[in-house]
Amino acid sequence: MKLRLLQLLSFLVALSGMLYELSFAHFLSAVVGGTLLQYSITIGIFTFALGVSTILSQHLPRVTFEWVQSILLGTVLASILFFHWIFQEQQEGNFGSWVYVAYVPVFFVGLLTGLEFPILARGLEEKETVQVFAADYVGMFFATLIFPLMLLPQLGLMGSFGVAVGCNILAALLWIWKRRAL
Amino acid sequence: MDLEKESPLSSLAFLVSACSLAYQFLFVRLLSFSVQNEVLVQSVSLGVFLLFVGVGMQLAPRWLKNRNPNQFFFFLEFSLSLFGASVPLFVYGIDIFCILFVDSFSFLAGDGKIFVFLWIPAALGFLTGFELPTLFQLQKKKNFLHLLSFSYFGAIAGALGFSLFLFPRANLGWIGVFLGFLNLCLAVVVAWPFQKQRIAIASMIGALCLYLQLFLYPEIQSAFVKTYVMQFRWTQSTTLKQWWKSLSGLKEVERISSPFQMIDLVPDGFLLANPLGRDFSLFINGQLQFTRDSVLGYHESMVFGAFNLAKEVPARVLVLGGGDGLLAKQLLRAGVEFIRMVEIDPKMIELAKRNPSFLDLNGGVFQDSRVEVVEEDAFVHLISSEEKWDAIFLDLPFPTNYDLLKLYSVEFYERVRNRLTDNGFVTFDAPVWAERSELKSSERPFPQDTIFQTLKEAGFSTPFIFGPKEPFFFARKDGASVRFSPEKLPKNLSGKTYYNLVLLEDIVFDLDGIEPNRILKPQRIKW
Repeated sequence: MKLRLLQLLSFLVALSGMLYELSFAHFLSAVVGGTLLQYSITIGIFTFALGVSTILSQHLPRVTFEWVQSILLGTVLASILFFHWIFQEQQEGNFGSWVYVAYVPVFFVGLLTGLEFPILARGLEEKETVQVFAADYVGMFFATLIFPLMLLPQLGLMGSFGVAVGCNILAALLWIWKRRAL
Repeated sequence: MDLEKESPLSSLAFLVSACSLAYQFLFVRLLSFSVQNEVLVQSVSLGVFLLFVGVGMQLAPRWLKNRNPNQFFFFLEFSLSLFGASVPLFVYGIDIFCILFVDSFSFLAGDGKIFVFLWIPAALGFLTGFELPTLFQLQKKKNFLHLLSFSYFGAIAGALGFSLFLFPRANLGWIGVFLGFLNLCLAVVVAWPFQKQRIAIASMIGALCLYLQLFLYPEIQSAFVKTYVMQFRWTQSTTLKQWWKSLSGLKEVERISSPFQMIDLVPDGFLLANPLGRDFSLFINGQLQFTRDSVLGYHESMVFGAFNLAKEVPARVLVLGGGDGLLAKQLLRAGVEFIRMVEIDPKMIELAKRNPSFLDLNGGVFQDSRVEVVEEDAFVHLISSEEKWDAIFLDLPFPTNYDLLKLYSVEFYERVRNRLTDNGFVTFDAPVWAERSELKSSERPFPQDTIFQTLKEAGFSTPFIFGPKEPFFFARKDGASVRFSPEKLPKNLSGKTYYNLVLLEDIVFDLDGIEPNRILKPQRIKW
């Protein structure tokens, strides 16, 4: 039961993390241009952030899951507002290198997503860790399938953000509700 | 190399991960030419790659048991180097196979084609997944997270290094071989102290294979381009030998890759079988733009049709796209006083200015003082310039990807409308057209419906469509109704043009529930 729950949580946070990054990448290609380039840069920054958080997590033994989740949600909501503003400004013809500030949330969301897994895997045996880790990969894979095939064509960019935020909130609620069992 | 120390191992983790990611992006670049939904290609192949990295990592401890990690690492990097460098060959090879054998209406012809290629990122990911656990075995002070973080840092180096540094400078075949050599060197460095003789022989063979790829790549690229230009189909009577023979009888197609698009130039006399030899044609991103024979009917009907509908020849015309200069030639012929052409791709302008076949068709309009050329993104130009135009002609590539789809969006058409004088008009080629009778209603929205709705949303209240053979959209800023006045058409137009100048009034647009195409909520416009 405990393992299943952790797997589900790991799946959900990986799904929402990847959806955030894909939506960011698509937003950047809408404002900066060059879809392939923007996706590559976003994926690069994302993995870089995962690397930083891997190191960071060793030095932050007391950070809790709800702490990371709330900061992540706050960051994402703030960056969606920020993106909306950038897009409006750009449509008005206000250009400038500050468009590139839009890469900053990519890094932070990657960083916070990367912190989630080590917290979930805390205190698990090696075999269990591997199983939770596998759910993480499946979550990411699932995100890369539904984003281009369903979310972007059906719901658009803001709708995709919405689904990602939804998964994130779901994970947070699940954690709060079932915390005692863990 | 002294692998007992931390820093060489960290650098190894960094470099091998950079190479793997670079192969992955190389694959994505190649595939997005044939499966033109870049978001789908980028996203799904990343997902498959990551998934198989996971699978490889899970299996690694079992496979590594009782094996020498140095040897295993050599084997791993050796395979990755040969496989990664062959990615361009695989992609072109499978592409040729698809053109020859896959029915153009089947599931595998559109976006579904991606499934035929997904074993490539799967294999790349699988091999990559073994790298870290193997390096971990070599590590004395066991610290997996340290290695993992360096491998993540390598990923950003691979992603940025490929996209920003390698891709703009070299062709994809060369990049594959370059990465392969780098990978092979890493393999040798690790295994050298253990088995000098065998490693030397193996790496020599590997290097030779990589070297051969440099010569194979142009061959297979040329075979691919010819096969798709010809749209060769496999019939029961053809054999592989016949196909190859018919390819070698063809002249070379010139393939020019720019940061914006893939340009293929089919030369005159391409087909020996064509007695006139007038085959000169241009493909952008694999879509036919024009042939020497279609040019006249197309650009003539666009220019003279629109001017006839507008009842006057506009003085100042903005052309967005159209770097080939063919539209400008017709505009000058119709008596326009000033044309500004906004073309994003300098390679296209260069071709149109220098290539003899192009010059033959566009009559060297770039030398004309009435024509001004601006090298800029059409969207950026619309936003940043203040001038008003009597007419705006859009001569843009088909919306085959999300970048181009922006040029068919509400936001774009709103800018176009703002840049028009009060009775100005916009006209453009209907990029894709579906005959209503040929489609099932389940295939809605039809491409023309989406464009129609998008134009309306942008403030063009009454768009028109003309041209039974080559359909064009036409919309006035003031929303006035238009008619053709055939008696006012010049007498020296081609027959095809006269035939095409008919309003398609019987098209009833069913716009119920059709969403306009917006940048942040894109609607794909496709067959």
